[in-house]
Amino acid sequence: MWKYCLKKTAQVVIVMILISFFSFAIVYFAPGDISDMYVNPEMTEEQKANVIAQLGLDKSMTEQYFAWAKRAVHGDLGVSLSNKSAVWPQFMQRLPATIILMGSSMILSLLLAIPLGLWSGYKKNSWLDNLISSLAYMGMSIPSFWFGMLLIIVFAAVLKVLPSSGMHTVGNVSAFDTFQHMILPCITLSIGHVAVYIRYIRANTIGQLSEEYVLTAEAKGDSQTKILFRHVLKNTLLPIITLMGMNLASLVCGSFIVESVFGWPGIGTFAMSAIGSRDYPVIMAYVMLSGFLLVVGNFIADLLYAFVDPRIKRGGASGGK
Amino acid sequence: MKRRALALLCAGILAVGMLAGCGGSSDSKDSSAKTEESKTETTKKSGDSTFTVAMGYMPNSLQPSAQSSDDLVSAIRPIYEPLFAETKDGLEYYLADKLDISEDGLTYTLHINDKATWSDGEPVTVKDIKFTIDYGVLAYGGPTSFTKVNGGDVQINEIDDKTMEFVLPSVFDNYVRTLSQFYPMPAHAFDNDPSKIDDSTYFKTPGMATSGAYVVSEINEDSFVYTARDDYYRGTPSVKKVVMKTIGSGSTKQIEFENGGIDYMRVTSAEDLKKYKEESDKYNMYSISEARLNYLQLNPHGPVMSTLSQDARKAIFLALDKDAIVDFAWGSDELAKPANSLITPDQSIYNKDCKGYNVNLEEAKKLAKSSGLEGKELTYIYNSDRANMEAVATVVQQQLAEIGVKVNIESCDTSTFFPRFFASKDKEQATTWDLGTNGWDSQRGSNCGQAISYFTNRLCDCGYSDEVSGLAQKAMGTADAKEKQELWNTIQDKALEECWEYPLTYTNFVMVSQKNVTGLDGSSVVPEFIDYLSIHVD
Repeated sequence: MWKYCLKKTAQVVIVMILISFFSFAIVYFAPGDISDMYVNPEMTEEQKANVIAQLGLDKSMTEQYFAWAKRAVHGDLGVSLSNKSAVWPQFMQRLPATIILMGSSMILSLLLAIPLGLWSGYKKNSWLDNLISSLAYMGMSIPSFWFGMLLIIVFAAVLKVLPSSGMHTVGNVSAFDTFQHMILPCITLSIGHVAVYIRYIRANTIGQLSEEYVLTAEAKGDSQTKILFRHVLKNTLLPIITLMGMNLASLVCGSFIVESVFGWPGIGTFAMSAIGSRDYPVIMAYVMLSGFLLVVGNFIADLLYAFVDPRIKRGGASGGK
Repeated sequence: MKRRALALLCAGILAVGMLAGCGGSSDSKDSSAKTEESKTETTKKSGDSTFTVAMGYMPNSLQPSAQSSDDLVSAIRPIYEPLFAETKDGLEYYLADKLDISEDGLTYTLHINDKATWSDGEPVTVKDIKFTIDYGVLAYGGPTSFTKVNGGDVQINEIDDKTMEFVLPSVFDNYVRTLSQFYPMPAHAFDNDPSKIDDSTYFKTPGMATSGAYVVSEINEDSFVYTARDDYYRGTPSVKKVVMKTIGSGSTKQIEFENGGIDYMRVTSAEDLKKYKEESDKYNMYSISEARLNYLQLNPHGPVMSTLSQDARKAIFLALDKDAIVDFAWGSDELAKPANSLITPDQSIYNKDCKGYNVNLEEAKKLAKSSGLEGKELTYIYNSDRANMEAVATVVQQQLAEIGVKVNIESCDTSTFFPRFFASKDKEQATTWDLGTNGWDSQRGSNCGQAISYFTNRLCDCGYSDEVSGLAQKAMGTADAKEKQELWNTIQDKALEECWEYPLTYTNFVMVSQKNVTGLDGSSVVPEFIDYLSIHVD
């Protein structure tokens, strides 16, 4: 097991280095010259050169990258170009809003997807299965910004029952008010997740229902409901570990589109405005954070899988022979 | 089976971890700069007058000199004041109550309003101005437009607590404009040490000393709440609270406005203009000149344009029909009017008799053929974040097709548009486009504003000849009003003759407000200089 963990950890480190290098390269080669943001027409050429040298922008891309990486390893993600404030505290300031929204959306997705996926698998090829599957395909196909706007038009503009924007009504800090503001973005975010989860759970349920232990349970006289929720459910949900691991990144990093559409003050909108102003320390921090969480989420999922299914662990070990 | 149960447990822990994150939010909330006391204050009571303004995103700080976006400008305006604002009719004074310019045009004496105080009771003095200038130099790592003019240093003298003198090395008309963009910061809050600003949380915390009509009483995750000052030197605002709140993108702002969530918004389409006019029982409309010129730039370094002659440029200018462009892109002359000059009517140097260009398709076709323009493919870029620019691009494409020119349109967001549009000639970006539309706003007062950067090819190489550049420099350095006007009349004509920038439209800033909101047109400068004393919410 330790060998497996070490191998996975090494993979995480390599992937993180690659993510950081390529994201740095993308920002470096993006159109325009970053140094233009620091100099002004009143400066002499010498002063411009000094400023550029102070910022290290006169160095090659690899030199700049290693200087950035050295600081990042020590926890210094730099200072935002647009507001001259340290990047990390700004992330921390916006993190709660993102986690509340994304966490709620994830929980809502699971609460909806588990019964629907199970039922769809259990009633394979029935009209109910076809209906749920059709809805799932629609959910996967609908662009989130479009669905968000649709919800805003219906519930905020026409029915006027829910707020369209923001996280609070000014002057109202009750949990209920935040809940009301969260409903539309949460549903928008969940629609895609629910659709994907349903497909996974349905497929697993169909597979599990043909396993011998189900036959045994039936032979013992267990009811269909008991078989489905007591035996099949546990095994069906295992692949969800992977999905949740993959979603760990989005939980913390938010959603560019949904946060922007609903004016949600999370990390997604922060990163979006940073991209708009080419604030590369913020962009780099965002990419690194989301990359790190994605890799770590998968890493945890891999470990859990290895723990649950020894064949994976053994396969990993024998693969090295 | 036990292993599976354990795995499920671990998955549960992962989920609990997520929930724990949610729980952690309340801690962070506690650490955010707000108190229960201040929250209670904002609860709407009957009789409270609150003016709510939309922001596209939540600025990280309310530092007045960091006005990097329209949202930040809007957020800062109720709490920090400029010294004065340039308007079509002269200067509109705020923290300063007088600006004297010597006859030779070299000495600017600024008098600060005796009554102007910070919200913590400290007087606004020249120390605050010097402190803010020093911060600019520190932040830029070199001289700024306040400290250097025409390559020479500006001598800054503190005459007394309320009087400051700026002695220019040479006459520079635009120095008025420079001073108008100055927002003093409170020196006493930083022990007069500008190096303390960047590491400070001062401008992120309620209670910061402000110079405007309001103080910051709350900073929430998605909004700022400002409360009217009783000791504001220009009077007491009738609106007791101003709320700046973040609104989502797309049409969310309009929905929020129609639901009464915000008090005003800008109208940029003829359809919306008509709609809100028809509902005059629910809304008030305001129209103020934006002092903005939208123009079409021909790129002297463009892949095709660099190979063509002045006749080719003239063919493009003659093929364009401004009236059709206004009609299609704006749909109403209340939103925009065809421009005749590269100077706006809000500038005193504007020449209303400047002929501009009128469509002449036959002549354009002839010139296109003789100059080799016909059959060419030009790359056109525009800023998709600017209202109506996509429609302008579409019309220009159609109109140039009439003379046999194919236009390939490339839409860019702000972050990619400006690095391309203003790329200096030695950079690859400068050679990636032939045509582009852009605009410059807040062109008011007695100087030429941003136009100088174009006529002198300083901001980027706009293609102007040494003659036009020289005349512009000369006009900027001319103190005599009559001579200056004659020079600018000549420049406006010559600039158009050279056919590099085509004046498209002068736009209006049209706003719609809730019916109970009045006085948005109380200021002649928009959108950043709305005079909050003139606003009333019944």
